[in-house]
Amino acid sequence: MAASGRGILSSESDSEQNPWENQESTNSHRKTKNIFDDDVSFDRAKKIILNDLKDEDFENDIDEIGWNDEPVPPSKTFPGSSTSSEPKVNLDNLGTPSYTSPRLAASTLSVTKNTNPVKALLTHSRSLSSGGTFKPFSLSENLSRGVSDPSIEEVVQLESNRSFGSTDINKLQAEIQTLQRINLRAKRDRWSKLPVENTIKRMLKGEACTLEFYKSLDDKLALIDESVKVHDGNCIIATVLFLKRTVKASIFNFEVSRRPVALNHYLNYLRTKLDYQELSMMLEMTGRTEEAAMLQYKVASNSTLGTSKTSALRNVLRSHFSMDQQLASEASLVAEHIDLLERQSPIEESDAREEASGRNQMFRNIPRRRSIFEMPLITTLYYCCLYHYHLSENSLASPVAIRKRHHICDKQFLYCALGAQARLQKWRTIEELLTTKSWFGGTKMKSAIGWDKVVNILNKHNAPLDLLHKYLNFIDDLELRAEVAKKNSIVLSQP
Amino acid sequence: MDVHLLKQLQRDQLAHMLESEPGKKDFVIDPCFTKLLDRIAGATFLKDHGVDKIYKLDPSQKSLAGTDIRFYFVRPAIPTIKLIANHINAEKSSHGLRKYKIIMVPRKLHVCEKILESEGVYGSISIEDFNLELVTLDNDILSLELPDFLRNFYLDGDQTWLHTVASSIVHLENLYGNIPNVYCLGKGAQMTFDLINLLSDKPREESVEKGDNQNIGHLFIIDRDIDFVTPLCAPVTYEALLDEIYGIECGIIDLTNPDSTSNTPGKLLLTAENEIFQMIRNRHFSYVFAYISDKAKELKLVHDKKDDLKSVKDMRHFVSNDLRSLKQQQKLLAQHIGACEYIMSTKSKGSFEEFTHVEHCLLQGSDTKECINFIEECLYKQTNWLTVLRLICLLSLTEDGIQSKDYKSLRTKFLHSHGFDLMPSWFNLKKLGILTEYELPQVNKPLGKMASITRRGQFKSLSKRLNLVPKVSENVDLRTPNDMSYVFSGAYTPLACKLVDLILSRESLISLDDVLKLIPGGVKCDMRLKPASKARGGHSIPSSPAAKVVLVYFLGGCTFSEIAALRYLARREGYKITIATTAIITGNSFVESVMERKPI
Repeated sequence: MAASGRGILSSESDSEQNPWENQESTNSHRKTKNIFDDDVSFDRAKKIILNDLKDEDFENDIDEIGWNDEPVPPSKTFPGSSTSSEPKVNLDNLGTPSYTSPRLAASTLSVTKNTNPVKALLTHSRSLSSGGTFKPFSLSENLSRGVSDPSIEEVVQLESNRSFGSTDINKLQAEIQTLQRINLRAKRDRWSKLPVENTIKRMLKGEACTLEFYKSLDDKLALIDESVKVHDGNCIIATVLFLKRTVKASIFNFEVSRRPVALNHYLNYLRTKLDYQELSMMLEMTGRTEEAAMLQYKVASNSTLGTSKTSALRNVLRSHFSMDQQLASEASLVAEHIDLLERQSPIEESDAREEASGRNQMFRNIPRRRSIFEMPLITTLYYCCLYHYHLSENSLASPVAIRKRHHICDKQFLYCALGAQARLQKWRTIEELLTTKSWFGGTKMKSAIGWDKVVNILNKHNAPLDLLHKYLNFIDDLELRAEVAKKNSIVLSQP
Repeated sequence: MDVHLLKQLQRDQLAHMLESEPGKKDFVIDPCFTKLLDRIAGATFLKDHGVDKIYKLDPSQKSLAGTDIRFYFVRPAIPTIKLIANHINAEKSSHGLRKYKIIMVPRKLHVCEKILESEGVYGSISIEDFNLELVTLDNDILSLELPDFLRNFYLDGDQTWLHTVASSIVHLENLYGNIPNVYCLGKGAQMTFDLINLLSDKPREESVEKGDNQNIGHLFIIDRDIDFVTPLCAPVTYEALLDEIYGIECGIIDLTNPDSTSNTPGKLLLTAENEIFQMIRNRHFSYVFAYISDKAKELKLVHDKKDDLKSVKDMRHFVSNDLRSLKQQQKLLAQHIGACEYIMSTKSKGSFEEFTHVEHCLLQGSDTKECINFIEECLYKQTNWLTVLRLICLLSLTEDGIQSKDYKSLRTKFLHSHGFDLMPSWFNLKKLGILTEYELPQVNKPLGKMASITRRGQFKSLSKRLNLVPKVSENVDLRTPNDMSYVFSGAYTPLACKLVDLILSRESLISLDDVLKLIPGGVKCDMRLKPASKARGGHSIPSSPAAKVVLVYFLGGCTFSEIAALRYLARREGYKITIATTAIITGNSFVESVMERKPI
């Protein structure tokens, strides 16, 4: 596995930091002879190297330098990392193949002018080598190849090793020529942009790269489109954010809204950043009004404070729902929500007071389990059926008033009322509930829900047996009647 | 294909990562990794590699104490990274010299680095990625343990995790050789395949032609969104029920019954090594108990042996061999009995039979009106909201949308009974395309973008063509299964499993064209290993053993019901099927993952 190797690499490079600083001070004369400095011409570079060769006695033969892709110990690979301006970050990038954020890369570049230019390239070369993707290559191969990245590594390696054979001058001269070309190419690459596809591919593989060179809008858009083409969310959001950072808002909005995949990534980025304002704006702008309305509604209903919540909801209703013909049914639901909250808070207030005072028998018999505020509508209805069943319709807590306001159907209402009254053991009230006046003044037992369900509910609350029998007999289907009786363990009276 | 190799590699990798920083260090982990790391390494392993204290990352922590080196082992998510940045900033004054290393699993993300940069901590940390991808949960199950994939990819259209899926397949191919036949069912699957080709170093054709080190013959990449019906159906196999009722995390289950002080508590590792479990995991629940009681009798026989032990030697033999395994088996058996009882009581509480009946009606497309009535009834009674929502979604999926009138009425009733603020959650289900409003054609409304996305493949025609709903479900033997649909009591065959079965048994996809074009997102395949050609005598030439080895990769998660169906298929056809998934899901966890909030 590649990563296990990486772990080692990075650790070494981390611990190697100080030794390099030391070496820098002892070998400081090298700086002046750096053939890779911008101001060093080819001829001068040649001289420097030749002089170096005369000065120093090397033992190693050139063939042993490792032109092929032997993993080179990092300690020998990073002479540039000795500069202490931003030690840690840089080392890290060396250790792990990674995609450096553009800003970081930019800062790296800005320091390159007055320090060692090779350093700027380090992130490139190192990450490539630890990716382990390229094959051993010969010099000629290297020349014919358009890619210069591996060559940079060689450059770096050569410089640090400084182990030239002293005998074979011809060989060395060929070497110098190669180096010079490599150097030129490296320079050119460093200051000019890579093709968009290459950059995205590097990013995809987690290698270091920078977006800063893409100045033209076309390039920036090409970056996004290429990212979308390779289906990698990380690339997409990186290029989208790059666009956002570098062009004005109107261009950004226009271009991003034309690219649905990119837009989705941007929206999700805003979502995870909890930037709801921008998110809502983008949604509206791209015609996803329902989603925007839902978002605003969610934000408003998540706000905690009671009174501000209703006003927040009211705002949302006005600004996002009422205007939109398509959202008419949703708008009425939001309106119901607001009304419910406004109904709940006074009920809660007065009931909490009532309960605390201990005067009301009702609350003593069945203590309230929790605040009714922010409970669902049906829970509220049940609550009101339990504690405020007989209130007149103009009272807030009246079940009938709730039923009317929220257009609750008969079945639903009966479920709540039955459940609550059965819990209170008010069998008379239940009887009334199930009795309807017929046309000619007489009365008739009638239930909106099946009698089997009525029996089930009543039995759950231990209704008297004769009552159960009475309702059981309203079940017309004999089979069902027997089944319900069995389920509720009632002994059926023999007909 | 030995999946335990993966585990070994991950352990080594973990050790390397820990040793990369010499000295004592603290290890702060994302809560989602606790069980996962237990499966790979365990606390002792961490301690052996220089970890001093292990903390769980918690939003309430302001800062942490500890040694001078700290590792954060986290998923690259913005809130997590912000939390870490807060720690570092808070500790700057008191502990300026501390070394921080943030390990992002499975890889670092651009947005996270941005956060670290903007929080001003980039200089004090080092970032590393740790490509912990597929975790071996069992002999035949690999999981990315990325439950967020579903919401991110299918609801929000975020493709970040696709890279992880692709890269996990590339790593598998590096280990087990390139897979010659790849079938992509659905859109995300095809994207994944594109990514695989971009990420792998060598071109596919070359390495497949060479054919060396080929251990896997077929790869299916399957999008969850080709079949949302399966996760919504109530499971009936033992393992699936355990997952739904207790919840299985990384193969570990906590069998402590939530509402009783039962005497069989304890955590249990559910893998093939658990012998009793292995025998019952894939069984239909109604036949689990039979096995357990047989087993109990068997144990009793062994136990009775102690009465006729004749010599000291016999006695010693009994004590040293039988007794120990006996004790252990007894304990396991008791645990499973406890679990069975709990499942039964939970199921009978919630009028399970009626639910199942309605579910089967929906799948068959019969008595829709009656089904809607039942759903309404559940809403009146405020029955568990997830269960109801699952039925509503199932209604929408099987009917290809709910008629506008019913849709609006169901929504109002749902919000009335479970809270208005579930409206955004309802909207999410709609956006995902599993809860749609069907306008009668005469209404001439311009089709918005949303509408075109959410229009699903026609469940009915697909189910008819592929015979997903067996006509006579009585013919399906639940005791000794004779059809994959046994995982839903013979009411439905999981689409993905059916397709795997069909495709593997055909020589080419051409004969399946008219079926496959009904699959949302379409089907693409890349076949380089031709099926063994039939020789003249009708005998097929034996092909390489890899041809029988199949990897089925689910994007967006799969259920234990599907796993059971695939295991059955493997048994029937002699395949070796390994299942990989982004996560293992249940109906509830699936619906919950796209919700905006949990209802009260």
